[in-house]
Amino acid sequence: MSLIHSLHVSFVVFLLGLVGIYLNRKNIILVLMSIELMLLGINLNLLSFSVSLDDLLGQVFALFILTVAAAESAIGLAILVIYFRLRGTIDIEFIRLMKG
Amino acid sequence: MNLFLAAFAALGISSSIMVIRANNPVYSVLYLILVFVNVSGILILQGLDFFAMIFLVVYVGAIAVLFLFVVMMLNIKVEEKQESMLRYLPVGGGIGLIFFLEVVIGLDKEFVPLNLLSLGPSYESEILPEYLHWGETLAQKTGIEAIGQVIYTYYFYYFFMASFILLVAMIGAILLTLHNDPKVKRQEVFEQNAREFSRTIQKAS
Amino acid sequence: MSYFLGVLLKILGLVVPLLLGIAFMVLAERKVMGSIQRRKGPNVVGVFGILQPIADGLKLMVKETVLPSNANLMIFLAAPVLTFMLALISWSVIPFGDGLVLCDLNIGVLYLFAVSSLGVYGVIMAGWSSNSKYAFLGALRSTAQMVSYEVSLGLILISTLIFAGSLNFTEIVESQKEVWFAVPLFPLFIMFFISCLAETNRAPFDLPEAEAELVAGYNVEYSSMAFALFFLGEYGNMILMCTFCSIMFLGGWLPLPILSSFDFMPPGFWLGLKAAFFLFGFIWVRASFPRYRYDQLMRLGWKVFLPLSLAWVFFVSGLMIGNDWLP
Repeated sequence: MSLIHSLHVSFVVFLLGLVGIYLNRKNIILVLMSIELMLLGINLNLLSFSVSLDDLLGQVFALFILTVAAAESAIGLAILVIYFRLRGTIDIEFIRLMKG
Repeated sequence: MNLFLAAFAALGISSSIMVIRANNPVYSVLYLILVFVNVSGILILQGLDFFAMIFLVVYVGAIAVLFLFVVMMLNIKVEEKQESMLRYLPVGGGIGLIFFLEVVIGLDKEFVPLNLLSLGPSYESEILPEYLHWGETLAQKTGIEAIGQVIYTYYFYYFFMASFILLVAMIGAILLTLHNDPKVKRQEVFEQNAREFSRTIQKAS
Repeated sequence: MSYFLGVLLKILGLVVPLLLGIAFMVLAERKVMGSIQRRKGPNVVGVFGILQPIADGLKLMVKETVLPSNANLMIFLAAPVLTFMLALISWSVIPFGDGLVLCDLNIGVLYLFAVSSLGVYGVIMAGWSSNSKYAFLGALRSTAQMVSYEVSLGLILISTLIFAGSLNFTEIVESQKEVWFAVPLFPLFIMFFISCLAETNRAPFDLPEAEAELVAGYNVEYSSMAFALFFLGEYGNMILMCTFCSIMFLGGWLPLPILSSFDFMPPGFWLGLKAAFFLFGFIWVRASFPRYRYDQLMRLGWKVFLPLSLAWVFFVSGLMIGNDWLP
């Protein structure tokens, strides 16, 4: 198991998350999912380096990123749900109109 | 073992492409789950069994279920998304390509010396000095024990921070979505249990 | 080559008795429920109806698989396979004796927990892809219930893991040589059993398949072998949870102290005995208790079990650290 391979995987996953945000600007749930993908890529990167360099710090921070990802998705989805309840849509085209 | 790695990586990357390109959000979430599972496979190959399981429990068991719930409950219509794709493609694609090339070239240039196995055993002594594998000489510990010993001592501030972030997220999510409809009747169990029979029914006159 | 053959034989040796066990578990459930409700139960096919599960299985096999025209076929067909597969792969870490385990994983408990958290997806995929209101409502109920009770299940497990000091099933059983964890952690034991009932969608928490309201829950649209896979998966999960319970709290394969003259019995016998005890409890509970209402179920999970199990984590860890008992 070499470092390079898993680094490539993590980088491609990160990049796909980035592209996903760019491509799916209209669908905010897909944007949230793309953020999850990016966080996953970062996590895989940290873990691979942690294994390769024999340093536990990477694993510890991967754990923290995991909690942040969980918190982020929970809050984001809660905001989405309440927005849907208020407006009946979660289209970004309408969310950017700050009125009411 | 490399075969497994190739399989996990290929499946993971192709399903993460499907996450952003699927035309139904439910498919996206299911592909997202597939990505998580494949990444846990890669982690198992690296010997990080604890993290692989934690990824499964947290990402797949909690986060993806949330996504699936929201996507299914909100019932978002499938919308056309092909139209605006070409508009920003030149600029976005150009920047993306630069980023991609930068990292890929950087990865292969910078980290090759660290990657001893890919060069074969003969190069090992030329590039890097012989160094001791401390992991083999020290006492064996499982991954969880090692993380626990670090996380509860040196990094306990960060641990507190993480727990506070989770607490804030929990309170925030509950506060945001809890919505008290006065029309809904709720059961007050303690009130029910505390009610005395002799006081509830009274004889008229 | 012979290595793979050996692994394959081991897997078969685990799966085939499991499937047989599931079949006869169904028969036992019908018989026991019959006795409790003062009727005979199945008694036509074979002696005392012993061949009934075979007949049922044969009937399900030869029926036609009906595919609803509005269903999302890929997911519709993947869901039962996923459920059944997840019910089978979790057995790979269960030890039936000292060393009698397919894969003595270092983090066996975590593995089992992860696999059981994956089990939600079979249900929700089935409910969503059927494109039917009953199935979808049943799947949503079932998912919410399983996710809620998984939290309390995990917290209860943490308390026992603090006692055992390991996530390996074999070491957990070995650490119960002095005393079974059911004795010092009796309230947790009861809570774990109830959470297992809710986690496997059994009565009195069988809201997902409440016959009166939802016909059959998430698997209304399934027929023949697809339904059979769900059924097998569900009962396999039930047996798995009972075995898990007996490993975590009743000392796994350790023999009963009061029956010391039976010590010559193989370790798997004791594990089976304890699991059968819990399975009988499952059936008994099903025959005796009325179904919970959904808000009562959620209240029990989030407002009773979660705080209680969290408090127990604090109590147990405080006790262990204060007395320097940590293993």
